[in-house]
This record gives sequence, structure tokens and C-alpha cells, in this order.
Amino acid sequence: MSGERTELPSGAMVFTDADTGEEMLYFVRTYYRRHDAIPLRTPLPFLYLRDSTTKRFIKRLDAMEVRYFEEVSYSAEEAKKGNPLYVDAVTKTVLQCTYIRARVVEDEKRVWRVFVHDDVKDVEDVEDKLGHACESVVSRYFGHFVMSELLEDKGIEYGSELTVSEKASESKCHYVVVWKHHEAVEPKTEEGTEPL
Amino acid sequence: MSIAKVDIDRKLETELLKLFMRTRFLIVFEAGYTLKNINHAETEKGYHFWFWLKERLSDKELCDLQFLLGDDIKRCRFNYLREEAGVFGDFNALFSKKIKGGDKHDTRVCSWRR
Repeated sequence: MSGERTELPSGAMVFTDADTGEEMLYFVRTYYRRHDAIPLRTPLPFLYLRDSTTKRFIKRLDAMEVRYFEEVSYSAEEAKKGNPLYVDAVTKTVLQCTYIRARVVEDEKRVWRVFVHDDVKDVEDVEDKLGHACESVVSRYFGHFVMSELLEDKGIEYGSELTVSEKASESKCHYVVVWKHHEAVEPKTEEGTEPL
Repeated sequence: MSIAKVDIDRKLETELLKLFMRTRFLIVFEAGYTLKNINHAETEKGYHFWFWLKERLSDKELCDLQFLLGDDIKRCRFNYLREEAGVFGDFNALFSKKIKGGDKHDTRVCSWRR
């Protein structure tokens, strides 16, 4: 079992939860009429946390978090003017997988079910957007030189624990940038939101 | 409850992997904590481990324990810097997907299954 995202032949996706080591299973269930296979309703998305060994469901999740990390570090020998630096940056957003029941009163007889943010299936697009947002934030603080010449490590993780409150993945993400010159007394941190 | 995350950049034989997990239990015991569960996932170069602990640890204690459990030394070095900066909670990361280098198109994904 590899520690990353796995796409199954049925279209379901399995994410390794970086917070606990368990798995997050995303799938869409469609209900069909038995005799003629006509879909009975709009397909329902489900996101479940499950045990990585037994594959038993632990609990249903309303959302998952996607985090894009970038780390820059160079030593005194590599640094210009002998001033070593390390930078950590992360951009994160939440992908929802819920539906809510809403009542639309047209003739006082109809009740509509609507779906809100079935974004988990668009996780690849969201990862790209987070990457661009993260590069934008780091470039704003340190310039393009740091990004192109000295970028050491970057990666993505998926988490079941939500640390940000923003719900809409198509609007904005939360970022944290921390940097420290190794000889400096205190590291510096900036947080904020960045449009996706 | 706290979860210590460890990254091992080496593939292990089955018996050695089992011995590795048994010895981690002893380390946690000697450090004075209670181990509730171990999760692990294989990656391209090695393994990710999650050690579930009954006690609630501070950032410094978690950094120390991850170091003692054999975490990647470079990761430990940065985790101590992050603990100093007070952002350890945000950056105690185990990448699900690692993207190396400065070119965002140069993506190495740990063995996809489709």
C-alpha cells in the first residue's frame, strides 16, 4: 500500500490521511430502478474515514483538507553574503463532500434536495491552484530567485483534521509562511488568505 | 492524545519491519508514554509511520520523540526550527505526494494505481 492517492477502477478514490495514517475513501453512489436501470436520483457523494488495515469504516467525513508545502533552505556557504535562510510555506484549503436539504417553495408542494460543493473529485485542479498560490506567496516575500534556484522540497498531503475555516475551494486558501535566518534571534511568521 | 509521525527513507524486509515496530514500542515505553496504535504506509523510498499515543504531548516533546523514533534527520532538524518558530503544528507533515525540484512539472508520484 503506497502512501498517496489511489484511484480505483470504479472511480472511487482512496487518500492516505496524513494526520492519522488511516484512509479516506471517496465514492459516488447512484441508485437505479431495478427493472430498467434508470437512475432514481442525483448521485450521492460519500467520504468516509476507514481503518487502513481492516478497511472498516470509522466515520463519515463532511470534508477533507488539501495542503501544499514548499520548503527552501540554503546554508551559509550557498547563500549570498553568507546569510543562511530557511523558508517554510503551506497553502491549504478544504474540499467538501456533503449535501444539504433545502426547501424551495414554488407551489408550496415541492421540496428540493441540493448538493453543495462536491469538490473532492476535482482534487487535482485544487492541487494545481494551491501550488500556484503557494509560489505566489513565497515569491512575494523572497522574490523569484528563491523559487527557481533554491527550491528544495515540495509536496502535498491530505488530512481529515480541518485546520482552516474556509469552505469554498474555488474562492480562497489559507497560507502560512515562516522564515528564519539561522543566525537571527527570532523566526518570522505570516499568515493570511490567498485567492485560488 | 497525540500522534507522532515518522518518515523512514529505506525499504525494510518484512522481519526487519516487524522488529523495527517492536523496538519503537520499547522506545515509547522508555520515554514514559503509552502507545495505543501504529499505522504505517509504504512510500516510494521507505515508509511513513504514525504512532498514536495516549498522552497529549507538547510540540517540544513530540519533536524529541519523533527524533528518538528514528525520524529522517533532515526532517528532525527542520521540525526543531519549526518548534522554535511556534509553527510545528502546521508543518509536521508527511507528504502524501512529493514533488521534487523547482519545476512543478517534474512530479514524482509514489506508484499510482489506476
